[in-house]
Amino acid sequence: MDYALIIATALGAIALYLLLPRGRANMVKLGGLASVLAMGVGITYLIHWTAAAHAGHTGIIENLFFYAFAALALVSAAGVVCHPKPLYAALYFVLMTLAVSGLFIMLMAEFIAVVLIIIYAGAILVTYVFVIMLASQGGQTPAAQYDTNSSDGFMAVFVSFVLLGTVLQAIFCAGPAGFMHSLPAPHAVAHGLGSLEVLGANLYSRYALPLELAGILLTISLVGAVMIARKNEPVAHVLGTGDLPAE
Amino acid sequence: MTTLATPQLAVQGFSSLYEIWILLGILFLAGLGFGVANVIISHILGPSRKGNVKDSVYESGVNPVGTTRDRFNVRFYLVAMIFLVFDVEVLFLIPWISSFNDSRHPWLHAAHGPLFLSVVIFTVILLVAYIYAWGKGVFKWD
Amino acid sequence: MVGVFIAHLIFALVMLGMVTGIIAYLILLERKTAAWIQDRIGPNRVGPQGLLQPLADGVKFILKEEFMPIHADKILFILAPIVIIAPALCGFAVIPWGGDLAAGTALPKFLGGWAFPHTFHVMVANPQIGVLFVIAMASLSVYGVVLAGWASGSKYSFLGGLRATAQMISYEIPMVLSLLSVAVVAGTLRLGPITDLQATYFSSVSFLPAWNVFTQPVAFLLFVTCIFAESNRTPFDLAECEQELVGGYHTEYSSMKFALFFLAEYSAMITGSAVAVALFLGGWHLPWIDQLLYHGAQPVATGWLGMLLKFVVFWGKVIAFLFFYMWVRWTLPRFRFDQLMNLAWRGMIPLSLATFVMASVFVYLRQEGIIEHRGWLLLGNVVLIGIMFAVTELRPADSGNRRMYVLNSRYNPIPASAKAELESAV
Repeated sequence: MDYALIIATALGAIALYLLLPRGRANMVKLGGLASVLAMGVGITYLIHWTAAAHAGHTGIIENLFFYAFAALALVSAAGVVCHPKPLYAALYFVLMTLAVSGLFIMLMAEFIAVVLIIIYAGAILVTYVFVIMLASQGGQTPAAQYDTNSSDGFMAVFVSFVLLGTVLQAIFCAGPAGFMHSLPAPHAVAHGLGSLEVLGANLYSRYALPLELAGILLTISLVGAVMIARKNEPVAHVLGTGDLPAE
Repeated sequence: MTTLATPQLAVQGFSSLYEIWILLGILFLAGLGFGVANVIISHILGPSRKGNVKDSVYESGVNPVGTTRDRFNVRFYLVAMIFLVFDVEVLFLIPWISSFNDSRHPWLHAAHGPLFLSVVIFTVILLVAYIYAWGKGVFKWD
Repeated sequence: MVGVFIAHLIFALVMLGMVTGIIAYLILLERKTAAWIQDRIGPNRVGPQGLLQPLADGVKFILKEEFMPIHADKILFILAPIVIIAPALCGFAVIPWGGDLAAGTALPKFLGGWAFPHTFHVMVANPQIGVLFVIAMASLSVYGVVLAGWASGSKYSFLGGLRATAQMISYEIPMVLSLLSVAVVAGTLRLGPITDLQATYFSSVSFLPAWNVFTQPVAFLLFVTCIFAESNRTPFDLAECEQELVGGYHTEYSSMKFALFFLAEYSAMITGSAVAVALFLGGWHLPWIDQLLYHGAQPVATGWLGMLLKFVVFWGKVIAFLFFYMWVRWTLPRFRFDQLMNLAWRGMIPLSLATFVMASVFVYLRQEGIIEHRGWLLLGNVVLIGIMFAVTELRPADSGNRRMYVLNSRYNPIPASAKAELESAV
């Protein structure tokens, strides 16, 4: 058991719970304080952990980009959940995508990083923004349009952070030495791990079946989208909004 | 995982891959700074006289009627959904390109038959999705 | 290795300044071209021949009043022009502006005489994903348009933003597919090697440079159409068509915020043209004259003079392409929105898929050793165009321009049958 990790997770849970939109006077400042504390504990823990893994070398300078991108990803992820306006939430999602693709670049996975931007920022979130823009109903106040109060905020935060805590414990339980052992060796990275050639060759030969299945899955999702969205209007080409002329 | 004989990610003259992304990041930040600076400068230097009519939206001189943020045709949504599916499928082809036509690595060159076959199957799936959407009249705009 | 990094950084900043400067003069060029095509004189008051006009425009933009509609979403309204300009200004980073500088090329004496330890690619960065970076930046700039349209709180802006987004995402798929059909032949996504492969001549028709536009004309046409659509230019400028939507998504913008949308559009044009030149038009390759200068094919890695020549040739091609943009803008009328979407979804996507499959088959057969010559690719393209025309002819005709019935109209009253259907539906 790693108490620092548990404390960080618990602080994060409290912070997120306080930050969730509630419609009444919420405790945003307190939530902000708790989130800063949670991140502080987490980063301190990670620095200590790196020092233990690398014989006293804290690696703050080398990992500066990691900490920056990770913090940005966390903050914007919290923004996605907590912002009361849906369009802003979607934009926070875009910011989070950029931060995560920065993390991928640090792992030398250029392709995944760029595809993350193209797919998530360029396609999925455009769809979200479309929905948000198209589904808003005119003439109502924003508060009435969406449920700006988080329903069951406590249960959601509780379940997700228990899950997060479990995953973190599982990752970190082996200790610094054991964790380093499970990583791919540095020379594997130098020898083409993450390069497009290797990715393509593996994807299309070794993992050909999952790839084709993914293609079929995408086709099925397209069928679903068409079935849901395409309705046959009885008379589609009549302009005008007035009632039918009385005869 | 098959490994390549030569390091693929080594960039000529750079000590690491990160440096080119730091360059790209600097360029992005420079663009961002350019935008921010221009907005701020014109905010400071430009005049500002407010008025009721001036602050209303431009609708060709007619008083605005109703609200802008209204419900809209679902067809735009459908376009976005279909685009999403095709975009993902097309991006799956990209790693295939660089491994399919790679004469530098003999083992990749030897494997080009199976690589070609699996991409043909994948393209056929893409085509089936496309034909289905066409048949359902998704691409009809009227 | 710090020297290499600093050299790239300096190059990046120089290119950034150069691109913004060229954008300013592109606007002048656009106005001059428009005037020329419409038999007018064009701007000629500021400086000789109006050459200082961009400067005057810039000062004017900065000093103009900025305002914001009262219903606008304030944060997003200010954010939108910044969001659109940042990705637009870094798309050019992966473009090979001038081939390579050979290893050992030294700076002039008065700059310290530092020599490049390795071959220096004359580009800001050379990631292995190459041209995908341009696409990622283009997909980020969609947000500027969407946010501008939504945040203004104006109906014209909203419609413009909606149209622009639907259009930009529709044309992204054929764009990616057409550039993939070039990339599969070269076997890489980096623009540098794709350009290097084109800097030769066909072996059988030795006067014709082996540019991709000659081997894959269909892909070239598709790509050019797509970059026109992606940069919202006529005939695809439905997002900002003056006659319908006033200014589209930037209707409510003024002063420098408006100028940033303008800059982003022109910067997207420059990036698009540069990618088109690098992918299809031989990049820095100077045809025919290189035979005289080098007594053979133009080498990829050269010294300063060769690099400068390539740089000038590349920019020359880009400017020529930009002129083509303007020429089209002031010549062709605009599409209707349904025609625009039909073109993308029913015409260009299947065609680009066919081009891609054909290029892949060509590469497969080349690896099998069955065919070698790139002329086969051209033959395939010609066959593809033939099939396309045949399919267009044989396809059942669209109902096309249907009548739109309007309630209580004298000219297009609702027919009795439709009225009965409508009543039963209500």
